[in-house]
Amino acid sequence: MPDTDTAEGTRTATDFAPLVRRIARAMLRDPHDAEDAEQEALCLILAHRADFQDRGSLEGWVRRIATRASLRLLRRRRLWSWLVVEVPAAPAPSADPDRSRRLYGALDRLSARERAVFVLHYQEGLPFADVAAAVGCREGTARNYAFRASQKLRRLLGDFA
Amino acid sequence: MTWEDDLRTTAGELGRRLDRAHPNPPARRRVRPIAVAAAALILGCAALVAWPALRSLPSDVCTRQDGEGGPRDPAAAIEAQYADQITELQIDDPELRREFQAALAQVDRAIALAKDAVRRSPNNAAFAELCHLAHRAKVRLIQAYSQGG
Repeated sequence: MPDTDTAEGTRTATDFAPLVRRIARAMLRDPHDAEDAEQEALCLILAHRADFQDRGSLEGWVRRIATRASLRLLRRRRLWSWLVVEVPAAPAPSADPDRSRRLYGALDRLSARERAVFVLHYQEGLPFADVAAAVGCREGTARNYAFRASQKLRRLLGDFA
Repeated sequence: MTWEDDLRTTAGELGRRLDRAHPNPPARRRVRPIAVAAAALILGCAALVAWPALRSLPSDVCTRQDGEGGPRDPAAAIEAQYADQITELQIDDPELRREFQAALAQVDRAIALAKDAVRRSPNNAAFAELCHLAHRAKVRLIQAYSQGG
């Protein structure tokens, strides 16, 4: 049985790796941090695949693990941000005309939960019930976070539309 | 198209972009100068607070830090009180000189033991008194033999 569980876990991790990677990249501005969160999530999926007994959606379970691993790392980074400053290795373009790039930059101004809710609802297109399950809050709270995120982004991006 | 719809479309574009690569280059991390300054300040304050406590440690710790003969050696302080009374004595009579040297060796041995006890327990008044007694005995011994034994 353990071999079957391992094979199942490996298959799940392989199948859902792009989803995990996309969520980690959306949540974390530094590529190395995103890789760390992705690896942590994939390790958790491998270790606990046997515990998932087809209660609900497997994709939802994977998304929850990826979101929470990314949230943990994002909070840790923000906690230490007063102590450590990030210096980009290559200078960023001064005026990036790409709207998605501008949006990505503005996401740094959201709180960790607002960012997670925004990524899952707006980028991944999930309904609020699934967003709430992934983030670990009530549906109404998730709606509230999404509203606040949208308002902040509207202020930050201005004539974005 | 509303602003909200446009936001969804752009977020979708961002998702497809993130599938291909991370949009940011890797960043180097370095400690903020303010954090270094804060750490130095905290260490300085801790040292200021801890220093009087370290100085007032009562027993062996203090003795070991000061060392034998150091500026805060309690035995050296006692010895210094008798320094001007303990002088070299020349005795011509060989028999008397041997007797004096034997007695002096005994007293010096008592002084050494008393000094060691005072260094080990600088707050013990009995050891300090013993050290004074040993030094006074040496002074009296020298005085006695200087007057002809």
